[in-house]
Amino acid sequence: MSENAPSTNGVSASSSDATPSFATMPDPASIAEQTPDTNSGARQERPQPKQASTAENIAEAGAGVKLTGAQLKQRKQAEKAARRAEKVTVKGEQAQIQQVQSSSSGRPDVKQRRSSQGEQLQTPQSHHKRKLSNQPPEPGAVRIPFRPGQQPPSTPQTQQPPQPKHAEKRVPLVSHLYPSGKPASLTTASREIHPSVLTLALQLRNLTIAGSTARTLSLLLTLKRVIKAYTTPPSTALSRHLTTHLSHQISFLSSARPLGIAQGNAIRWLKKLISQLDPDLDDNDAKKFLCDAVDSFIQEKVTLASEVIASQACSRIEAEGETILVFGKSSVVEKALLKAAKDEGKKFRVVVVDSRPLFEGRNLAKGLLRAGMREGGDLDGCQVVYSLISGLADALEQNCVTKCFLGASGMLGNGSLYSRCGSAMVAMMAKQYNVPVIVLGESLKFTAKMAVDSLSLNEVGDADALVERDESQTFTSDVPPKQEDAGKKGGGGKKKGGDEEQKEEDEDASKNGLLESWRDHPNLYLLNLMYDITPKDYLDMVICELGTLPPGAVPVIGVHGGDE
Amino acid sequence: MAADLLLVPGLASFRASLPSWPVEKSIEHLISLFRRRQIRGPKPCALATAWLLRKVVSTTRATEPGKLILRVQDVGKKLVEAAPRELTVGNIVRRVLGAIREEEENREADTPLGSEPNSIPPTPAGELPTSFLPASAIAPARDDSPLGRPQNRPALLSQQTGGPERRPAVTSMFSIMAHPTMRGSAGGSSPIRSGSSTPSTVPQPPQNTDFRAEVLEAITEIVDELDQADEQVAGYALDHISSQETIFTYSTSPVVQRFLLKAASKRKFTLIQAESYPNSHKATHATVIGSKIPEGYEDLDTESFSKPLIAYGITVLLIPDSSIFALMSRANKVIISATGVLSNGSIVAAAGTKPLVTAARFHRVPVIVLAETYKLSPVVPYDPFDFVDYGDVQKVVPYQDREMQLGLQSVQNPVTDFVESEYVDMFVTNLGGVATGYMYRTIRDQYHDEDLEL
Repeated sequence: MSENAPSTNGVSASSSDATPSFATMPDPASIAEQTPDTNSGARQERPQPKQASTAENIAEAGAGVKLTGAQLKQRKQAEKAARRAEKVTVKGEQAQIQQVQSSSSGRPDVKQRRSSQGEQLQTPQSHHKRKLSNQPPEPGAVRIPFRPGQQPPSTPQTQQPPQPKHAEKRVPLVSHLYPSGKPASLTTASREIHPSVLTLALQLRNLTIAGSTARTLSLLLTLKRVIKAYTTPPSTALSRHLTTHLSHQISFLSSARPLGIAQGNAIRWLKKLISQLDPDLDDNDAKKFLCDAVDSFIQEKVTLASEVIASQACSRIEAEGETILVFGKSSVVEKALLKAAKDEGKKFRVVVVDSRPLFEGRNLAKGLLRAGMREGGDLDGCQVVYSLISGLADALEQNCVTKCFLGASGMLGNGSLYSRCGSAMVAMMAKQYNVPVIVLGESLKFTAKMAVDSLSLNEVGDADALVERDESQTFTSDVPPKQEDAGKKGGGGKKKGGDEEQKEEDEDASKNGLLESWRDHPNLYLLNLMYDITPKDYLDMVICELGTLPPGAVPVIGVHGGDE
Repeated sequence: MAADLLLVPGLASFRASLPSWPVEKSIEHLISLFRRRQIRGPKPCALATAWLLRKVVSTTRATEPGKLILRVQDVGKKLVEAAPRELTVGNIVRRVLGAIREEEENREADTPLGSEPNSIPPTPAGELPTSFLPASAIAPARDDSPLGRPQNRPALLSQQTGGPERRPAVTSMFSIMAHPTMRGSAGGSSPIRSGSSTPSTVPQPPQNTDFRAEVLEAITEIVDELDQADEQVAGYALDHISSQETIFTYSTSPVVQRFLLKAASKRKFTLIQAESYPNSHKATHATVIGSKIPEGYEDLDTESFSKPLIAYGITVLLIPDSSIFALMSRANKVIISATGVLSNGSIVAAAGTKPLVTAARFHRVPVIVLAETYKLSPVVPYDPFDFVDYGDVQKVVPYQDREMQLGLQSVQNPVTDFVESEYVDMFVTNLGGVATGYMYRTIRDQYHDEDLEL
């Protein structure tokens, strides 16, 4: 792990100066802020990395190797233990991080600066050489084991790698949708992967960043950092080498989670831009140019675009008496609804339809409620209704829905909508009740790809997400009582241990018992599709920043980032 | 008494309390159980109603069937009011009333038995079931009807419905014109007690008090039928599922499970199972894996979960409700069960069925609905809202989530969906396949015309 140290230095340098550009955009700012903070906090703790890496070893040792039944069982037990341990560590970490942040906010900065100087000295050679691992460290290099220090924030994710299992059970029906190659984890990352890419990859993999727009934004911001930290190796041109360098980063990201349509478009745009760079341009100028270009791209294609779309959509909402059906969570839809309620003072009702396993609609509903769309709130007069997708027919009947807004992950060339799984059902039922269905999507999400069938173009999510875990458990009794126990019976550890064990067993049996063992049943498959395709017939209108068009006219707008 | 104190209030506790409690108390007990939703689901409700009515009939000191009918009607109305959305309660009440009416007719028929004893045997000698003992009043109408000759028509009908002892539906055509009272008795003589051709109707001079014993026997047959209905429906499985098919099903119910298991014993197919999230996903998971029923779902028939489909080598693909549309394109047939079938062939089924069948319609996938005869209800769906039942809101938004609980304008957890008949391509009942368009007739055949309105 220590060999990776040199390449890591880049982040800390870039992360600090990346911040100003976020100021205009709320979403990426929070993402970006997260990273440096946790890093600096984690750096203070020495014992944790070790612990984490051992657990990781245990967990990842089995990867790729075929296992017997007994071994599987053993490993499962080990994993369970790891998960338990992780629960505790996560808690501890968070607390520690907070402590560190509050107590010593100045110290990490010093280190950071030192390291960034060191990086200036040594990265030019080391950063892009692939087989550096055998070479001794550069004499001038400051050997600060940043990499291990950076891991703790992400270790909870790596401790439970379901990867080897994924390979075991694939639904034959959609076998073409499973990613080939190893899924991303800290160990699969080659050493030229930029740490911020690593962070993003893990966030993508764990669906911490799940929405299409958020994924694209975070991708662009991360690539900007990569570009900033990049130095052209001798005897190559930036315009030639940077693209391959980025390709490595991107392929790592796509191993974490397949790239979305918007992400793909953004990458294509960026690569094209790089390849068109003037070869005579000075490296620093070129980098500055690229970073500015990325910033303005974000500004234009994402931030402003969503503003325009939101206000367009707003104008479609009547001042009073509308009921708007939405599904899951889309940042643009949320923006449009809030804009209509806040800025334009419209009074309407929102019916949020949601589904397992992501429950993104809950986030949307909560966002709207927090904005005051409830009785006695700031936006009194607007109401939120929440329903699950199985209650869709009833929600439509009871609420007299007048419009349906859907977010998009992509608009396909044949006018179909590629969006979160369930959108097709919502659009279909809305149509059934003669409710106009309006898609809100930036033109960045338009693609020339086509599909008439949800299974040909899709992404398979983690099947274990479908295993029912009792919500009420996570809300209340699960963790807090244990901690109380620990506090009370500090001395009587034996008794406490017994209680805990029994409790956990009970939990496993009653709460997670049903599907937990699904992999052991030979003919049983769980399928968690991420997207589905809504046929053109169910859509009435697409609002993008370039205007309002019928779904069939998607190819007229053209695909962003270029087939040209 | 001691035993039922130990039980959780429900079907089992009701059954345990039944023999020892006085009838009035039992009636109140069942009403309160219905009201508190401690007995729910089509089959448990049907069973509880049948048990209670058996007790009511056996304890009523009525010498006249008319009095007994009034009594059962009275109790039945109370029960139906207590569980307005459990259609099977009303169905069973109607069936019991039908049984009493049949006895009444038998008695009436027996009285003039001496006057024209020879006029009756020829009629049953035709295709008619032995139970067909027409009231003497309609005998002339019957003579007018070319009943015996055009054999093809009844034959066709019975083929369609598959009922082995189907009464020729011809009478209905004539009875339209006939006098209401005649119509009533004509219809009354007809109902098929599916699978239970009352052997009691072997002509024997009944005593005045004896009719109650006959009614009790009929009720016992109804209870037996409730228990066997799943199996009978499953008997038609091989007619509808062929090899290498992909079957799509939603939620879980004993009848669908049996149906699929029966097919699985002979044929290999693939099953796509959507889970029906907030209300019956746990039961669905249990069915799929073949484990015990989780708490709160005991009312589902436990036996049918003993061996899961996967044990027969059937590939089962479990998906969340959101993927229904995406995967419907791969299905050959949708097989679901209804909690109730209404007079026009519309069904009441698990919440989420409406989107499911709409998706099936889009993909041109035929929808087969399994419905045991006790689920066939003569109720007319004037207002579809009446049939949507609501359940525990906590399953949609947990109580712990205060922010949502307090902030949301409304949260509802529909347990059932109303699905119009045009989405259903075919029914399979224990009488066999029934075309949607013919469902109204099959339903009418189950009950006496007087009982259609309770």
